[in-house]
Amino acid sequence: MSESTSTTKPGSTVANQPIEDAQPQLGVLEEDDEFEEFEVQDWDDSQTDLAHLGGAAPGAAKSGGDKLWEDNWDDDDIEEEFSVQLRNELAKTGKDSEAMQH
Amino acid sequence: MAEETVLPIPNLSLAQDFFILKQPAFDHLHEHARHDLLAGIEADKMAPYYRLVASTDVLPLDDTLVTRMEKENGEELEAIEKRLKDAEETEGESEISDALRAKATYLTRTGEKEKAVEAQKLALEKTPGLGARIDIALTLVRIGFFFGDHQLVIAYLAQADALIEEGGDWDRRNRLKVYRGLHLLSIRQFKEAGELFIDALSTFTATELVPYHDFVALTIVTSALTLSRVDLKKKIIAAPEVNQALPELPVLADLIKSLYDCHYDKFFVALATLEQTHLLPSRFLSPHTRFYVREMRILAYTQLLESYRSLTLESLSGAFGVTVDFVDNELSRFIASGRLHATIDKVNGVVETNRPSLKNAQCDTVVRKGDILLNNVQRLSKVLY
Repeated sequence: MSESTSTTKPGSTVANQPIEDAQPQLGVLEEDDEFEEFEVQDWDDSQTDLAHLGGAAPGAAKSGGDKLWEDNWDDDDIEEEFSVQLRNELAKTGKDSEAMQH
Repeated sequence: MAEETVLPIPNLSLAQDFFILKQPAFDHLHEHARHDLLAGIEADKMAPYYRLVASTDVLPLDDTLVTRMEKENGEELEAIEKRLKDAEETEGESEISDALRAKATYLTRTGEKEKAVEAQKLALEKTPGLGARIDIALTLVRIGFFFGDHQLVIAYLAQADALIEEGGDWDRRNRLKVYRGLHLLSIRQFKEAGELFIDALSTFTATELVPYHDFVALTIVTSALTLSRVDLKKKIIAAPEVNQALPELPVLADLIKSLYDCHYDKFFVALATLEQTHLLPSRFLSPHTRFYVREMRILAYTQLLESYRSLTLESLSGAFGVTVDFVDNELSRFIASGRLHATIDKVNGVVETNRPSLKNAQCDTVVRKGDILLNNVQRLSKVLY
């Protein structure tokens, strides 16, 4: 059983309040369902923090390459250039690959 | 002193040419870059920079040329030093600061980094006018950009910012936005960079830093990745400055239009072309190419999946114009790293979207708050009866 944080004396007005509070909150919960926005903000925050960290230590930043941006784990995932990958894909799907230019 | 147009010194296009020449992968661009670089070096008498470039073997060192330029540099500097001495002996503060600025400008133009920075710092100290001081700070930032010196850029962006806070005019304020945006872009902060670029779009005058069309291109590149679809339409596609420039930027036009119109197969083609024509060859964007291309793919997949509870791998791959195996691989990677919220049912060849974290969080919130509510009601009922 969770502790109630409300310390007001019970009265008929108070009985209405918790119920009214719950309804707008439930309404707000549904409005918050903006998935895409949430994700983008998350990502940017991690970038910013680490970039500030990198920028705040100018003397130390030179170790292992002067990365002033977050060294994304994905950067270690060496893959071919996207245009090469796509060219292969287009060849496989037999689509018109004239649009691909060097 | 009357407002002067800011001179493009050091000439940043030369730094870009130098970058291209250092990469064997761009040999089809080398001839043009070499020609431009030499022409620029000769035009600004950049003997010290010429030596620097030639030491990396991308250009042969023409002894006659370098000797001639060094002689000119020497003569010019002598004349400036004399002027400076005269000013110190007989004339007033403003003559001294003018001479100091002339010296700093000349050293900057010839690409003599250490001496130029020193001279600019001295000029900054001794120059009274706020506008001129801001210009010096921005010149130091440009030197930083030219030589790829991040520390210099950061330090003098901060300085310029502080000076502008003291009362810089709107022209300089807007100019600073472009400078800051370019720096942020170079350190992968695309969202912030894009915001600054869009802000500066209608008042752009900083051609000493980047030519107008390149600026519009950078604005589009950063915004395509970081703006919501609605904002992409409102702030980019509908922006008059962008609209005007788009015919000359066909790859970018294809990119944003296909993304906005959800023509994902065209989008992939545009993205791949962009990688080759705009990202890899760009001095500032090159280190972020893999990141950018990957993030754009995630963006596109997310945008498509938004509209579906589930769809077949076949239709997904068909939408993007690639094989099923390719999307299978891609989605697996991105789902595993938490960038996409979906599951792949390989048996049935179906991708099902789920929004776990948000819905779970909402569930938990409802349970928790409902619990509190029930407690309150229970306490209430004890008192009432």
